[in-house]
Amino acid sequence: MKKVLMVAAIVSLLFTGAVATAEETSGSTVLFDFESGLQGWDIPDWAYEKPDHVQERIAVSDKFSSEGANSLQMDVSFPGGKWTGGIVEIMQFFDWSDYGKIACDVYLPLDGPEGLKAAMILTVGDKWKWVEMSRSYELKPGEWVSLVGDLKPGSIDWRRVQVDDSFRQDIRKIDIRVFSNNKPAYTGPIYIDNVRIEK
Amino acid sequence: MELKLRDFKVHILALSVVVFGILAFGLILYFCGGKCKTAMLKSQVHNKSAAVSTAREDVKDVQNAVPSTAPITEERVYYDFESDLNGWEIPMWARGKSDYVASKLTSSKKSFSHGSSSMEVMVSFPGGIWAAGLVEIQQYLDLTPYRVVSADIYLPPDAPMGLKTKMILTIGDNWKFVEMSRSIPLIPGEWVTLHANIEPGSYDWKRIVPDAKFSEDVRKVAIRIESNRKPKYTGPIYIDNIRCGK
Repeated sequence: MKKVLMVAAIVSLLFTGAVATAEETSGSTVLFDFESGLQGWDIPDWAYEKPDHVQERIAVSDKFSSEGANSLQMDVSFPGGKWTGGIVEIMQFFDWSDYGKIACDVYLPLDGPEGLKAAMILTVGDKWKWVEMSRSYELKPGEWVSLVGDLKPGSIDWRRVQVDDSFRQDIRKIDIRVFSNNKPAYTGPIYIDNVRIEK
Repeated sequence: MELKLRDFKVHILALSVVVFGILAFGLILYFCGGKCKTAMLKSQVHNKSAAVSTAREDVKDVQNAVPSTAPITEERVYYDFESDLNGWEIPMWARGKSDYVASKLTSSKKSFSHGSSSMEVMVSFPGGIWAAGLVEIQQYLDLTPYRVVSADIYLPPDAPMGLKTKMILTIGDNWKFVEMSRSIPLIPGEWVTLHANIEPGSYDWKRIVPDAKFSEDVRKVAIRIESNRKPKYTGPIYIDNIRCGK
């Protein structure tokens, strides 16, 4: 019995070491995978009051995931013909000084239209500066699309801001916005998963 | 009777004083108002002429500005297509148009001028009509630290002579579409570099002479390859190493 316990202990120690090594090698830390709930993500109050923001509700879903078994499902209703967006956010203070990128995965179901786009928005620093990504990513129906923003000094991934070292030291909110710029109409779910920071 | 006459005289006198007072007050208001109005008009005229002279000075500055001839000593590569298309796409509006002939966009390792990949654009120029393949990225960029924007373009050796290329920027709040004032001929089998100066006073842009704000709010960068009637070509064109220099 003692031998069995000893072997089990050694195996578990080796396994833990292997996992730690894998995490270090990939250099990625998952912030939110929605395995244990919404983890603080919410639809901001102001977005309910804006007629051009068309997200209806959010929930945890096990239908699609890019990491683990669950993701965040945001139900949207884009009417088409005008700019509309759906937004979710989390308010949390982060210091990402040791990391170079923020990323997340967004999934549009196969029956969704072409032309929907997604981008991340950070709220940064003492003045709670709203900093949108300088470019958006086109969603592809039936595929997970990764949104990636460079956080390092000199990055061109953020709009109307000179990214320096202090930028990534004081992040206060992360928002993810999916939007339809005039054309695509779509009513249904959009899935978000694996919000992470990378070295 | 005498008393009544005296009362009457007193009333007349009082009435005259009141009427005179009102008239005097009116006159004072009239002159003051006139003076104030004149002063205001004068100030407006002064402000307008100041604004006109400032605008003239700005135009003069732009007219006098001459792009530097110093060599480019520092470059930053913005898009090299090493991992993916970096956000470049064939715009939605061009997809359904018969004179826009770019059909597919991929990251390719077949030909490159920087790193080990480039962006491959599949085009199909029918010949006989003006047609173009256009690719673009929508990204908010502040290019004020830089003097030039450049890109490398490669046409395979079996392609015809006569295809040309130019860069197009979309700038500012009004999303102004600004084409290069000239296009550059592509040479089959060679990488050709497209340069455009973005400094104040540059002559590289059509119907606009850049001022200091020109490159501060760039919202799209596009590259257009055109066949003006003659060259007929179906196949790939490669774009790589889109960069800024100073």
